Amino acid sequence: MSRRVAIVGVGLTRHVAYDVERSWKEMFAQAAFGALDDCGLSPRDLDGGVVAFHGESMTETGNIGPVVADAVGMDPAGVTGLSGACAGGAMALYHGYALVASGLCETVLAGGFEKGSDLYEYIEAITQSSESDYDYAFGLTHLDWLALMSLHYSKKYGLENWDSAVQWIEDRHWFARRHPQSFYYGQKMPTTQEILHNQLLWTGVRADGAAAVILTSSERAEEASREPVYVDGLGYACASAYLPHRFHHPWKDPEADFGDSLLTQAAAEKAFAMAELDAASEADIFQVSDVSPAMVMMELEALGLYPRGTAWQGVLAGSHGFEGRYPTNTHGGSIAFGHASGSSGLVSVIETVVQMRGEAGERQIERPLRTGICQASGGSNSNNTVTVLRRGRDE
Amino acid sequence: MSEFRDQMYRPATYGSVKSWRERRGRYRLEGSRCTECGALFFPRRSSCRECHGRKLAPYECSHTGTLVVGWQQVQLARLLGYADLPKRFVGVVRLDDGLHIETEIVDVSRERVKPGLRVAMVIRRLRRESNGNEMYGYKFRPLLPAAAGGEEEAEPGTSDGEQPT
Repeated sequence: MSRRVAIVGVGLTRHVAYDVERSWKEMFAQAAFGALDDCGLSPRDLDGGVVAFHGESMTETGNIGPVVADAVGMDPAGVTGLSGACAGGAMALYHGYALVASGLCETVLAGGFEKGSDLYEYIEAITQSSESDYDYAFGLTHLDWLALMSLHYSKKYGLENWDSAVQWIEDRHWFARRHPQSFYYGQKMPTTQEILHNQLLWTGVRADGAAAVILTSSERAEEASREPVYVDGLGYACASAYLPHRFHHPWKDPEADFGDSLLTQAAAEKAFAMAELDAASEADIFQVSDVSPAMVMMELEALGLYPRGTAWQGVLAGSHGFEGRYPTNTHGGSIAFGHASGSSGLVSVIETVVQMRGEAGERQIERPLRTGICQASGGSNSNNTVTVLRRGRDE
Repeated sequence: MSEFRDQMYRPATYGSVKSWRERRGRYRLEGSRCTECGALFFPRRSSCRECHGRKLAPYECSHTGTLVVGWQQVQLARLLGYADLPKRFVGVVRLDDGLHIETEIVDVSRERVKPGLRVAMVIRRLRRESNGNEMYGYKFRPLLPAAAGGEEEAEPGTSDGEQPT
């Protein structure tokens, strides 16, 4: 890639169960305006956009590019819609990066949203992001995937109990209580007993929400009103959407199956090489997909922070909490910040930017944050991204 | 979960041609075998992921296998057309030829849905297609241990009866 790319503006809507007053267009526009206002740019400064949504079954709108260009007022700039399940927002960043780095565009809006509450049957729509002739058609859902992955992980690696998962969930709720735009902000913390007995707390909490960032070249970023955060490494990896194919993966690793996150491993390898990062442990802040706690363990392991099957030890010891060595999902993650499929992958990027700028308020990690790693999983852990962010003016 | 059981099974209303096209896969577990390198696949595909060969022949997968992991669905995850059914069991099965599939497990009690359970394919009703046709496809049920009469019959007394599971 020819030039360094920075995030100069970020915008986010509060992630809520029902945003009944607004359409998805209005909701996304609010996130986009937030990002533009954040860096003092106007819609006319944008010459390209990439926006993730779950798919047209979710919005009853398929070709969202022109709709977004119009809603944001950035027309005639070209906007591309993409569908990437829960990794969509991070994929929008990936493709938005390419637009700027290549020189094709100068300043780009990358965003994502989901508005599941408009749908009577959300589960029907979201379940279609799969090998649908052989899982959706058979009545097999994403929650089945998450449960099967979690149970398989725990058996494969001999987890005796779910204490680490409870710790993960508690830590995420702690962060979410300190994020005014989170799903649970202002609500009381769940007790350990409530976590143990409420299965709904063990997965991403479905939310309406939108997120957007403004990407620009390092030259422009130097003139921006905000301290830029640079996108220094990106990796994106795909394989079959059919969950059991994780047993028949192209890596020929006989030990690996859907209890391991091979695509995160592949994406991380690429992103770390690009960012000249020797190991994940060199980073200061982390964001991983946490639509289920066992998935968290797999992703932390796939990033290389732990050997396979051992991340639960670090989680249980509090290494990923506020004062831990590897602060992770400091906004509350999908579990407690709220999970809006097209938005989630970008919310974690925005949280990293906010933390690096030192604007995270009560949840601000106090030590200097120079490098951040954001991981996102899509579908059946079938389309995963890893993004390396760095703070600091271009040398 | 919907009160419109009969009117709105699938919001994305495909015709039954999709089911017809996949009939061999859904009714016989027919996948593909690469005629060049011998790799096996399920569901069927038209190019080999291993050697990138493009000559693939139909291959009928083993109808028996072993449960790798299974669970019972929770209320949150239920789809239209399944709302009136008991909570269903879902698992990943390693077929005897080494392929893996995700499937519903039927005629089984909760205690038995554990890794290692031997299972065999049956054809059961799925849900209704948008034109009102019932969709059918494979599901798996337990095999009896050899000592109790061989790998043929489902465990007695645990069937869901006439319900379209």
